Amino acid sequence: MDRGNFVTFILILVIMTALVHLNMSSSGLNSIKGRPAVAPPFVIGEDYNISIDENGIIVYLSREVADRYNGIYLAVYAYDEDGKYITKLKRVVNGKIFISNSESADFEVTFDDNLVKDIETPRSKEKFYKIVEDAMANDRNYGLGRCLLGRQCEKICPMRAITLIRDDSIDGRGRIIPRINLRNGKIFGDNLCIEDGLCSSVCPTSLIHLAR
Amino acid sequence: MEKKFRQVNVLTFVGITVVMATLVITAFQSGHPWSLTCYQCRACNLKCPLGYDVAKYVAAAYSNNPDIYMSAQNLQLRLKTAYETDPNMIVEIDGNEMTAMEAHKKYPEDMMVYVRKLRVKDAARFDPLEGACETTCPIGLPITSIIRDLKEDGKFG
Repeated sequence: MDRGNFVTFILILVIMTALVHLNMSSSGLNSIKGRPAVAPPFVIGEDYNISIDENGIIVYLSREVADRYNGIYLAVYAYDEDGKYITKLKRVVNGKIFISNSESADFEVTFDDNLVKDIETPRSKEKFYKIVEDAMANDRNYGLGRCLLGRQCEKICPMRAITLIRDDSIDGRGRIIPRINLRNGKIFGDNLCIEDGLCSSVCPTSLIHLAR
Repeated sequence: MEKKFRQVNVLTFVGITVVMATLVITAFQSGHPWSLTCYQCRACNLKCPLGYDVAKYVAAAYSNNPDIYMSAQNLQLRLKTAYETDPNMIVEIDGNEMTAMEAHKKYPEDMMVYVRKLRVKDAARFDPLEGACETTCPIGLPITSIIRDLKEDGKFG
């Protein structure tokens, strides 16, 4: 290789590497600084109701939730017998979410204690309505959640202060939420939130929003 | 080398250079020049809940053309919505693929149909923006920034 070719090659390599490492993830985001907070869970019977029949699943949303989320995706989820969180993402259309009896789940989540370990596309092609039906019959957690499992909040946080966890509270019904290491007072440090607002700006469902 | 082979070589090289230079320019015009670094491994397709051919978002960015068509596996729309979005969108009804315009003439408007091919800008409109595609990208390209860019008005920038 002659010197000219080598220099050109190195130049192209440097340009390509610079392009890859330019942090453009936050381009086009309207981030407003503030203290992030996690939205409370949807309450079954109050915010939504789920019905299942041979045609599939229909989630009826309250007027308030329907107005807020019309055209936006939410996650219908249920736990299987192995303790995996199985979910289907669907758009809210006319105040309802409809999942037909031919649709399979989108993601399955495994946990390490209550930390989200892996988010995978399910290997089993079991129909999603069967999984929800099974969870209902066996008294396992199921419901409607906001986390769409893209892990964008974890990725964009410059302090690595966010981890996805399972909400083990009674009202949480096993939904998945981000755990945010908020700082107290003026203490700064590794893995502590600096309140830059990036996480709330990438969250497509406002599960993370600004408290103030 | 014979003269005519040399001419073919030079012409081919010039042609490729023109195409590559055009792509570089359009990639910068779209505001997503990093899209040039995508090497089309299509790992992003594996996790998309809508079964989109996600690499087409990147292709649209480096060609600055949100009107190119991409395939979809799991996107369901009402026929009315599909028709109003793009009459040339390819939908599937009872195993038959047809344009939304053809389907609109034959079937009721509120029927749910599977979308099989749609424009990138329309795909962005119906995208959940959850970002699962990014988690599988081996070089961490911020694909959702393209989707976010197109979601509002279907245009780059």
